[in-house]
Amino acid sequence: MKSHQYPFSAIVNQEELKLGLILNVIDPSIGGLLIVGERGTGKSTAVRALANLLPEITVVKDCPFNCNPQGPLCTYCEELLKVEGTLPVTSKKMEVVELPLGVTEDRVLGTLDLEYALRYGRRKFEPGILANANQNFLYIDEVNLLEDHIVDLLLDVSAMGIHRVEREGLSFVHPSRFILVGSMNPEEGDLRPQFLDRFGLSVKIKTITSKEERKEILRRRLRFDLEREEFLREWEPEEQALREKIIRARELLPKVETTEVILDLIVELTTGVTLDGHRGDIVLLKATRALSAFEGESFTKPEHLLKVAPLALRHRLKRKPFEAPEEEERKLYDLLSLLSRKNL
Amino acid sequence: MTFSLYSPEKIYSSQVEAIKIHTEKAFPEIKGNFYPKLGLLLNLIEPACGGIFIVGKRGTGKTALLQDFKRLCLRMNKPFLEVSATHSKEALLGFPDFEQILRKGTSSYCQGLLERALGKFLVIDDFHLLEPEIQKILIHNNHKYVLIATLSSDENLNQWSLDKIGLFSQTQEFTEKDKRKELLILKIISERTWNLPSGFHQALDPEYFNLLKETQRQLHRLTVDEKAISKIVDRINELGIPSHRAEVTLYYALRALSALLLSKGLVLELLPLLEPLVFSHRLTIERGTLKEGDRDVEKEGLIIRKDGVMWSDKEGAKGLDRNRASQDSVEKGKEEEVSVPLDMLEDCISRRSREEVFPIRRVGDLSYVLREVKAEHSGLRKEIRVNFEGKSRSGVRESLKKVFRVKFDILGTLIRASLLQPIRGGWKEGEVVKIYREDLVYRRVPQNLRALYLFVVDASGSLGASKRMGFVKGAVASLFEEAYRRRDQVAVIVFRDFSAELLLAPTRSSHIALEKIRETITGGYTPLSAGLQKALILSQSFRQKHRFNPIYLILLTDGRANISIKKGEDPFEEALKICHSLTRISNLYSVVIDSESTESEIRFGLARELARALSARYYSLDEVIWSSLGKTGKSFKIIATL
Repeated sequence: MKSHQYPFSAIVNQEELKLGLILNVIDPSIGGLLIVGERGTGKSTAVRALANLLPEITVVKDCPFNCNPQGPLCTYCEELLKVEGTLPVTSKKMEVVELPLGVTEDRVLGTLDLEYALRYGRRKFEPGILANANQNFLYIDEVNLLEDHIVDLLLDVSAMGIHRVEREGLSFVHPSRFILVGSMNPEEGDLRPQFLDRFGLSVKIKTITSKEERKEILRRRLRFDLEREEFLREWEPEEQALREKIIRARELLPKVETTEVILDLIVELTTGVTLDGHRGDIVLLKATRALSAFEGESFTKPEHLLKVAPLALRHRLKRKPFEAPEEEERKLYDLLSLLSRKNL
Repeated sequence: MTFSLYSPEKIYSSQVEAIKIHTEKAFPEIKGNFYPKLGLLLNLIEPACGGIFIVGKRGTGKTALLQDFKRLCLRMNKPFLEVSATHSKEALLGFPDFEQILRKGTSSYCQGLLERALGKFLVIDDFHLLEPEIQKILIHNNHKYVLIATLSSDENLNQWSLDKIGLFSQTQEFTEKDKRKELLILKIISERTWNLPSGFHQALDPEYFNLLKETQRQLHRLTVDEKAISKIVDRINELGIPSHRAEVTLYYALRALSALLLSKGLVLELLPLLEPLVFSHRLTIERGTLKEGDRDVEKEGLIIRKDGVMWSDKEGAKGLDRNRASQDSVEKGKEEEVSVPLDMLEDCISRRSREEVFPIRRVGDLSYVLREVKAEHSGLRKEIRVNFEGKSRSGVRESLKKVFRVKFDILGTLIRASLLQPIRGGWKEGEVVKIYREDLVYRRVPQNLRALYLFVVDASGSLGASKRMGFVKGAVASLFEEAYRRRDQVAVIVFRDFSAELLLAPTRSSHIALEKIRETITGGYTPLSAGLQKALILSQSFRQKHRFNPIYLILLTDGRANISIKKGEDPFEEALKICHSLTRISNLYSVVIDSESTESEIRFGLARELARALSARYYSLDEVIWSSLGKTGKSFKIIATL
């Protein structure tokens, strides 16, 4: 079947979606992205294409849980550290781990290694998807169709950042900090509010109606299918440029300074609309910093904030039961345009 | 109708003829059914078309089409896999290979059918028989294989998931005597050839086989065509189809079609021919079908709206009739379009002014209505059990809460046994794993017993006149919330004027349900029996799929039926009859909420009679709303101006 991924930079338009994904690559602590979109708008294509752009991460060598040497560590690595004093370190390319729809609990959490148990009569843990997803992207296509009990597991683990295994006589801890990327079609069902809040950013993508762009989409898609080699070669320079830009941004990120003005703006925004909790504020700040780093600036600017604000806040807006969902959204946009007039 | 999918005058008939011959040769056993055949053929030549769903009534040759398709695959050396309802979930998705594990002690995993289907055709007869979860998985992974499936037309598949399937078509049913006869003769002939040992290969003309091979070669010579791209995008923008998948599919279908004609370039003139295949399942049923704003725009809109939901699907069949270019079917197609008598049409338009969209008016929490129904039903069973079986009360309650299916867990058993092997001396060279009775693990699998809340809502003029529709909507919205809290499914049927419409097929999205209810128009006659009939069909098909899941039928009406399904039948009597058949469905519990005002002078009390026929709990809307407001507002009673 298809051996190569569609180039990320060859995706026509959908700037918000691309921005959301890139910000998450730059700062994984933003907490993921929820892609809400109509059918056939290239949600899955974009996430799969992301794999091309991902940087390298440092992991403990041969650790099945992708432990970061700076911690948190899994039980194995902790023991190793106690015995040896240091941990062998290597680097690895970041991945997009996919959580398929029909997944079982065993596969997600990991289970007893049956082979090992049969051969040696001893218990050993066989890592599941949550282990693979540590320090990586966890992609769930059609996240709203996921079974409830799997959602519960994910909620629990993503809140703690570690996964405590207590099953089949095993007792074990491993870190599981993943960047959650979900795509959903709102027509097929709602997402639970708690789960919705876990996603750092959200984007809403719509079908492109401009004729020229639609043509371009079809053209590129056909070329990708029919003249793949050539097409990929053509796009490689742009992919490379984007990749380098992301790497530079990751280096720059810790040096980005946050100004007082930005903090004031954030608070003004988040108090102006009805929100639950403080996660919105934090994510907004992180996303702003990541965008500044991506733009190569060493301090945050109001325009960066205003650009990411819809992404960070839109899905957190409280919806009253009998109010149209657009109402709060309009409020947010009104506030944004007001602020942008004041500050720019 | 704002646009037509198919415009015959644009197509050169010689090319259409050539393609018709193609389809006849490829599928010699089935008569007619041009579009399903074409769809299959296009997929065979160009799998990038993205699969096909063939929908049709029983006995319209769906299975035969698939048989022929498989035969073609074999001849063309194209691999395919078959999945049927008998395949378990493990077989489809993969499972640990116990034989290998036990024999060699190495872990090994059996690939599921789906993994093996990668890049192949996946042929599924009777897709609707598969478990809903498997259906979901199959459709959502359609990019990995090419799904060729048939589906009974009685099923409602969600339109939004169908988008992932490239093509869509309906099978044809013959009503003319001559054609039916021809069909029989053909069947006899084909059965005779099948019985011959070489019949399998004889069915496909060798010359034709060579032609198909040539087609395949031709396909690879076709290059990207700019003109085609712009033409396709224009057309799709014109129709307002949201998905980008549509244009990709259309392009590949055109490519395959051009290859069939052995043309050197893409045959743009034939684009309209493909439209029914590509668009019929993608045309969005306009959200606005029931919106206020549209009403002044198109005067005849209402008549189309009557069967608006099914229209897009039927169009495929209609286009097919016309396309077959035989005169009688063209005439038949025309007849179908003007099936509404003219005087009725005028009547509709004249009454349009009385149609209104009422906003949802907030009422209190009505969830207690549902709880009472549930309590009543469980209470009944409790009594019987306690009396006749003498079981303790708590035990009975437990059994009502959840239904479990006990399943032997082979993996769990092995895991438990494996840990004890060193002690038991099992699992050494030449030894087997020793499993004792105490190792056996059974797992209680909770049955997914999500209920279906089926709302049957009366939106006729009698509710509009007294402005009560707002409260009806409020009540429905409040009950939606209860369903959402329990993660149950809701479905909504609305009846008004001349027909009932399935506004919302069973879904868990309460948000959309609310949207739909908000947009519902009120006004017109009261076709109560049509609404109940629809509910009956829906609950029957739901029951077939989910054997134990309870159905809660919530009927909101004043019972003043005045339109019957059959001519000459008393509308209310007819409704009562349907009520009786509804009571025969197991685990279906009904509630009737009477929307007749308690204040009005003349009261008919028809809804109470309906409740009796349904053996349903009866509530009056006014009382329900009062008591709910009383509950939220504690002591003060609001004398609402109902």
